[in-house]
Amino acid sequence: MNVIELKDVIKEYPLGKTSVHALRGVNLSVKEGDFTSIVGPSGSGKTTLLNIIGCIDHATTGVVKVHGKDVTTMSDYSLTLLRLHSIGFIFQTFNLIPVLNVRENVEFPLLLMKSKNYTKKQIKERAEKLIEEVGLSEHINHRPYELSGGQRQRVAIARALVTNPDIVLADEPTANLDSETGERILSLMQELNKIEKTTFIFSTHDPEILKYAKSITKIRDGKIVA
Amino acid sequence: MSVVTKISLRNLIRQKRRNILLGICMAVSMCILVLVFAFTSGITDILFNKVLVYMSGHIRIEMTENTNSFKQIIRDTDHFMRIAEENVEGIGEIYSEVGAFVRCLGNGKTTNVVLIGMPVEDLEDPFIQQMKVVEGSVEDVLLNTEEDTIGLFQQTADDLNVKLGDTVKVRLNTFSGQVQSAVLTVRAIAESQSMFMDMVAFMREDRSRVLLNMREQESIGIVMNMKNMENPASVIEKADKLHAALKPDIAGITASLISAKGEFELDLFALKTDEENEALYEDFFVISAGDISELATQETGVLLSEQKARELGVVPGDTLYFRYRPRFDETDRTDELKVVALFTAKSPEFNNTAFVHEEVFCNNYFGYLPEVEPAFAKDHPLAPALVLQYILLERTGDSDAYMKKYQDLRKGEWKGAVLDVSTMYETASMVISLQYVLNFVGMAAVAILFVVILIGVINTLRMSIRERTREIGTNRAIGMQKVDIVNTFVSEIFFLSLISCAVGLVIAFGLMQFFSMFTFDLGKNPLTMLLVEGHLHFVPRISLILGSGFIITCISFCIAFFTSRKASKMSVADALRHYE
Ligand SMILES: Nc1ncnc2c1ncn2[C@@H]1O[C@H](COP(=O)(O)OP(=O)(O)OP(=O)(O)O)[C@@H](O)[C@H]1O
Ligand SMILES: [Mg+2]
Repeated sequence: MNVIELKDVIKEYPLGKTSVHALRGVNLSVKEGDFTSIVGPSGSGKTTLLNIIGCIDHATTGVVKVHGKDVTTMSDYSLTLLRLHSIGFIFQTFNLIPVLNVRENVEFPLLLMKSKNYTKKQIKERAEKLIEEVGLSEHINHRPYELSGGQRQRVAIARALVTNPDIVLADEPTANLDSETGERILSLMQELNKIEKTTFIFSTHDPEILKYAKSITKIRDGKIVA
Repeated sequence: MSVVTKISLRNLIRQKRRNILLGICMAVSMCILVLVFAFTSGITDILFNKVLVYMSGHIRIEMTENTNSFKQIIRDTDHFMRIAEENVEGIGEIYSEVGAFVRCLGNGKTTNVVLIGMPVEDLEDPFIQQMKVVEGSVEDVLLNTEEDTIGLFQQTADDLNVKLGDTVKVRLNTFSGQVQSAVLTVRAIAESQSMFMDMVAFMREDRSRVLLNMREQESIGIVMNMKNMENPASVIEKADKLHAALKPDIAGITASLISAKGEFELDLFALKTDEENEALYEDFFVISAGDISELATQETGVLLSEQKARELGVVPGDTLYFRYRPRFDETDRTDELKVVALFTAKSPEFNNTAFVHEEVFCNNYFGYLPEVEPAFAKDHPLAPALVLQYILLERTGDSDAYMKKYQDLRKGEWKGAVLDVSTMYETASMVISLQYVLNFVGMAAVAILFVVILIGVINTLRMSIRERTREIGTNRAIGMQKVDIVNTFVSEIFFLSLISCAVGLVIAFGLMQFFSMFTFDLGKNPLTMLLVEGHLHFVPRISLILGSGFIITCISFCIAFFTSRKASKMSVADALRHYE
């Protein structure tokens, strides 16, 4: 069963009178529960590809299916709901909300769910469980600026997983961390992939951490190679 | 507390410096708005509830007789006072004026003053209460029965070179036209408070009536002042209503006609014998003897019914007398009439009616209103041919129209009374335009400040949003809807403006307190009248405070809304890629 399916996806960025071809006909499918890595040199289109998979950017042409549903025709409102419920993001720069502490940052996506899928107590328990899983129980009341880079990325992982999404997308999650911390983050993601059965797609240009991936997609000049 | 509110409040604290600056910006504008509004309301309050009250009053009823010589007099003050009380709502005080413009002679110097008669029971009157008597006392003037006394303001006393206990000589033309004078002892000198008050001198009302030759029921005008007037323009509507209630009836005298043969009671009306009226009365009676056209020339002419003439034993050319009891005099009024024509009435109601020439009627009626006044239906077809109790002048809107109205009146020949209802908009337009100017200056200052502040708010907000673009991108990626992005910013600014307005308000009140501590001495500068006892006067009205807060909150709300909406519409990928 494929959670993600891309068919002939082309992405062009207009640049003055010409345009930059970031993706030149990408075909890709990702299976449920996969732990896959997208690798390629800088400027090859990794970020662009992840943005399109994560429904935060539109493909110029081609079909993007998430859970078998074509997302290219969905409204902004539905796409936002889809991101909230089915997709988790881990950013290279962590992107935590500075005014919220660890607990609140992790609870945040659940609080955005207006449909009240969870009670306050459930939200609290779910957040605490994930904070424990990423090993930050001691720092639960700390603000992001009081944490190290690795700790911040762990908070981001907990935040990405708290809604129990089908897919977690991580764009170079270790690029801002030293290699040791980076490897710890990756093994944590790997572990959570096993526990939570969540599909992970992460991009990197660091061959060191490729060993964690179950499968690898190579990209070069906006095209999938091998 | 929702997570959106929580984020807003914490962001407010996080970006301390900028938000404090923005907050100061809003607090200052709130403060300025409240100060300007309180100041202009203060001026309005002074002008309308203090200056105008003593200058012209809010609404006046005035009556003039003999439009050529322009005698200002209300003969039956109580009657009009009653109508005013019944028809004008919200009257704070109503009084009739006794007074005149008089020439005052002091120690070798002269000046003109408005001499007003003040009833003894007026010692509780706010005018007297707020008067600061520096030498002598009001009681010495009003309660003194041994001598004729006068109270002056310092300015007048200086102009006349007189001191307490000195005498002044006043000279005036009385109502009936003679020159009258009196010697009055100065028994009170009050501190000058505004240039309008300076012109006033006061004495006992009963003495002033003697001096001015005015009877008990007579006055020169009825003045109404509204209770705590906040909306000055409302007096126009009130004056219009009063005007409508003052529509005059047909003037008539129930009198005895006396001939050698006897005495018969009849209703006398004055007939205007213009040609156009002829057609009117032809419908009601037929001339059977004499010549009705003589009524136009014969100033004592009377037109009688055949029946009455027979009873009285008179024919055209004969002389007879009429007599009636005036409303306010002990002695009867008698005058001569000459029969010019007789009529046979088409309906019997006219058998007891006589029509007299305008001249003889007016000479008696207006000076000596009859005790018994016959009714004559205002809508009777003959009514337009008869003289009215008074001519009610049309209402006018401003002083130009008001003056023109009286100029036009002077051209006329009318001997009877003219009644007019006026407001301060006509009689004190100068003061009112002063208020307009001050309001305009205030508003202009506010407008300029506003543009400056507006730019400040817009810039600060745009900066804040630009800095937080990546945060917006993150929130959108995680699953926050556009509307919540807008909500975050809008509530942030909303809280800030609430706090700022409260702070601004407190500062404004502090400043008002501070500014009104100073005493200004402007000497004879007319601007003194805009001060209350030398102090600035602020009237911070709740409605205006709420309005100011509303304006500021509204503006910042709108700016926050449109700026953040634009930010929320950015593509999520672009927002995330954003670097300052
Ligand atoms: N908003 C944009 N406007 C114009 N060109 C863009 C834009 N975003 C990306 N590109 C171009 O598209 C191509 C792919 O960029 P992308 O960011 O996907 O590369 P990447 O593989 O993520 O590189 P890196 O490893 O350095 O992050 C690059 O050539 C880049 O210059
Ligand atoms: Mg990239």
